[in-house]
Amino acid sequence: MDVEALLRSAISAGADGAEAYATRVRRYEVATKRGKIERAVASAITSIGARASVGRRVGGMLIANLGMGPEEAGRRLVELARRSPEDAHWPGFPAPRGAAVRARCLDERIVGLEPEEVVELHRLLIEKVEDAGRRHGGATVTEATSFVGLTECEIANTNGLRVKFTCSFHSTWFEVKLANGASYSGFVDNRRFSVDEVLREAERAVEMAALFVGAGPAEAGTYDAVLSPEAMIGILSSALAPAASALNILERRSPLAGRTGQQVLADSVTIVDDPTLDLESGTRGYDDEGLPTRRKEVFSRGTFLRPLHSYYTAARMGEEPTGNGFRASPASSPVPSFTNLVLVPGSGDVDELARDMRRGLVVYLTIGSWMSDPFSGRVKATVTHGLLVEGGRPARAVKGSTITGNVYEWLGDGLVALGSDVRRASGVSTPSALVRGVRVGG
Amino acid sequence: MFDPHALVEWGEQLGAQEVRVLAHRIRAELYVLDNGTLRQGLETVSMGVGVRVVAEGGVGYAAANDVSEGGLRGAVERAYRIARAMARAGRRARLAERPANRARLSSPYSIDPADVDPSEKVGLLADIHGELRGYGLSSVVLSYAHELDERWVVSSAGDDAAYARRMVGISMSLVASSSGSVESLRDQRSSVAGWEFVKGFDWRSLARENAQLLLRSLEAPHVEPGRYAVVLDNEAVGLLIHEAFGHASEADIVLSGGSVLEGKVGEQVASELVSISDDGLVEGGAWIPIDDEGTPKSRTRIVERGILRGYLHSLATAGEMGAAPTGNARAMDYTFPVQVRQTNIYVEPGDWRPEEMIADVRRGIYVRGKGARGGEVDPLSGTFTFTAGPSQLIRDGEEAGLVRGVILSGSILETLRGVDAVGRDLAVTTSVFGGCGKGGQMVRVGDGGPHVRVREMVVGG
Repeated sequence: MDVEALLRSAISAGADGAEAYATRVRRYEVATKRGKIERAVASAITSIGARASVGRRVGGMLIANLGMGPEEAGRRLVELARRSPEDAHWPGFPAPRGAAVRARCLDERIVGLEPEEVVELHRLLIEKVEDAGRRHGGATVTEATSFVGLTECEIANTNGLRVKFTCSFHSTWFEVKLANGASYSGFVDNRRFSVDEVLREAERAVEMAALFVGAGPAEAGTYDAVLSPEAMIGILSSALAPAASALNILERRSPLAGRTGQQVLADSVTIVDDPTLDLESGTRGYDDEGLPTRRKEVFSRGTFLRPLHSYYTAARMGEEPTGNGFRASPASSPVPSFTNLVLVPGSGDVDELARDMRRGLVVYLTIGSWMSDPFSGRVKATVTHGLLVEGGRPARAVKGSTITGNVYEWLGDGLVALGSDVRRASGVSTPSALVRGVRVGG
Repeated sequence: MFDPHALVEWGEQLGAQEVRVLAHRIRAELYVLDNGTLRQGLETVSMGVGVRVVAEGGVGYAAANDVSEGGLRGAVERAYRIARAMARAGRRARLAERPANRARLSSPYSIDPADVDPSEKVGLLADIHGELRGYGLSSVVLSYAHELDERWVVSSAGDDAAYARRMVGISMSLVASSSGSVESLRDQRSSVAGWEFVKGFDWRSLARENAQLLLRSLEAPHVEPGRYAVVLDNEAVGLLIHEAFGHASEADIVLSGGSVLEGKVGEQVASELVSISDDGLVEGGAWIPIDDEGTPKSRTRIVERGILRGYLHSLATAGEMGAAPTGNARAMDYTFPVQVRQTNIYVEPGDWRPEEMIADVRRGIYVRGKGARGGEVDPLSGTFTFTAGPSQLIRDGEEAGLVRGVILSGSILETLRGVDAVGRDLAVTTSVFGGCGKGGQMVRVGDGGPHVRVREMVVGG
């Protein structure tokens, strides 16, 4: 569907303003089970999200049905807007605001990629795991799934904003199992198609799996814990990141409400919103409203400097948009969120931090951290791969223990040190962290 | 919707051994009232086609929503090309055979929600918001959603099966704070029904009940981490059984070597009080009469008196394992190939009364599902976890005070072997606001059971 025709149609149907957000996603999916490539999938899907305003009334439509023409779409969109209640804060759609930052989001290797090359990635992954597994009596890839593709994005509105860009994406998730039953999972999630990166992760997963033979729950209590970068990715995304959204601050569901300019985390914690990292998941020159993104500190030496804004929240707070308006689906109202959340590292890696603990827990992988509560910062997760440390040395493997606490305490008074062992995936860049006061159920 | 028969013919003309087409259309509405302001007023119209082709023994899948003849032919050709490439790579499928399925089904409803003016839907949310004004909550987010999900499977094996399902519901996400303490509560009610469900439900009463529970939980202590006897209510037992057992019984996970239930058919995997079924048509659940390969889905008894009777199957996993397909091949939408997925999994009722279960416990927790956020499992290590809403401590057979922040974990086999009481009060629920995620796909599911008691579980908080 032609987005210009859709905008014209909305205006002729009676809209004061309109916006279209069109994506065309071309994607390959390849899946492996028990060391055999199981399926390959190709898809090409076009979706158009559109919003229109009539006065302060706004309606939205997601159209993933190319049988619908722009006239019908424009007419239904305006009908929806007319029947919606007024939003007293509605600021209209944004006007164009300058050029994008330099942010490489397109890996040329993915342009023109054939499904056979993704199948070949899986063949190499299986081979690498089997090869590395020989040192441990054998290993297999029980499951692996890759999604690789391109998203072409076009954003236009009736205030003259026109933005077009294409970004690539690649995620590979896999699980390996050793002959003795021990397992580990690995993942790559960014905008690069790097076979070497996946194979390095595969080799690491095999070596890691060997650490977790005979795992069981730890004794219940309050522990010092080293949270690996993989564990930190889940915790930061679910318990901390949503709190920096200006919408959550405005709507009184963020612990950061009223705390701009105040110390809320430890001195050693600086968190940056960085859309310029090379080929990471959140890397992009424009947000979903077509406004330029930019790198900025959100927490500096523990002080909360500024919330993240969409055009709507910036207007409500009388501040400048920050290029952080992102949509849950193409027609949703944009809400503020991080591009790439970067926790600036300290020094030392997981092993060094673990040696600093007399008795504690090293948490490598968890499940359920997405159930943490961003309204309070309460972290909830269950350890699937952990090590109990006694006297600075691993004593035994841990699984099935719950870990709970508060992210503002863990990264506040409870923070002992941040590591230097940065991991980047899923739009988060973080080191490991040694924290006090982790409540362990077991 | 367009007729998928032509795609089957095109695939056969290319030389495919089998062609299976899923034509899929979704029409949905979502309204989100955020502290009284309409944050989302959104209509979704999505239609497209997924094509699975078997050629030279290999399987290929392609999806498109360009429903012009060129777009649809392109999808068939891509699937055919991938199938041949997979065959050349040595990967050949063994699909189970079954009688062709021909059906036209529609879930029951009286009033089509699409015919109800949006102002009535938003007005209802505004009424609920008004009901909550007096509680001093920090944030109230209310959502109304309905969806019409239409799926039509046509195959060269003679399948021509279609169904249409209407779901509708309202959710509430509440946040309260007091003296530095913050607590939240999410709850929802959904039904496979029409607008009559929304009209007939007492949402104001549910809203008051939720607000009161949230305010009480704000004052409650976090549960002390440790091991407890647990009595799970209907919602909580649904989360437990879906995570702790359902995923491990999915045959694609079993075939990958990633399930602790592998090789255990015929063995005791749970207490003999436990029988477990997966049923596409159970009352209260998500209505799934046909899976996305066109196989009829009714009730599959997975566990009978603690003995594992079989796994959940697609045509591919059934073919691979020499089993009968169970109607569990499901895709989030046409853009994805099917995976083996649960429909509505539940523990079958026993003969205990919930209060009898509590009366027998010296130190434990009555785990409540209201306000739970879901769960997750790592089937390979056998570890699962799920959260609960505000729950009650049990001391010497009596409820002894509210606790919050409850998260539970366990090992699949140990937990189900530890069940020592199963109630008589079966209830299954579903949600139009979410579902179950696996391999990047989210599908609507239901789950539940009667109250169930487990001798010991790990509890955090």
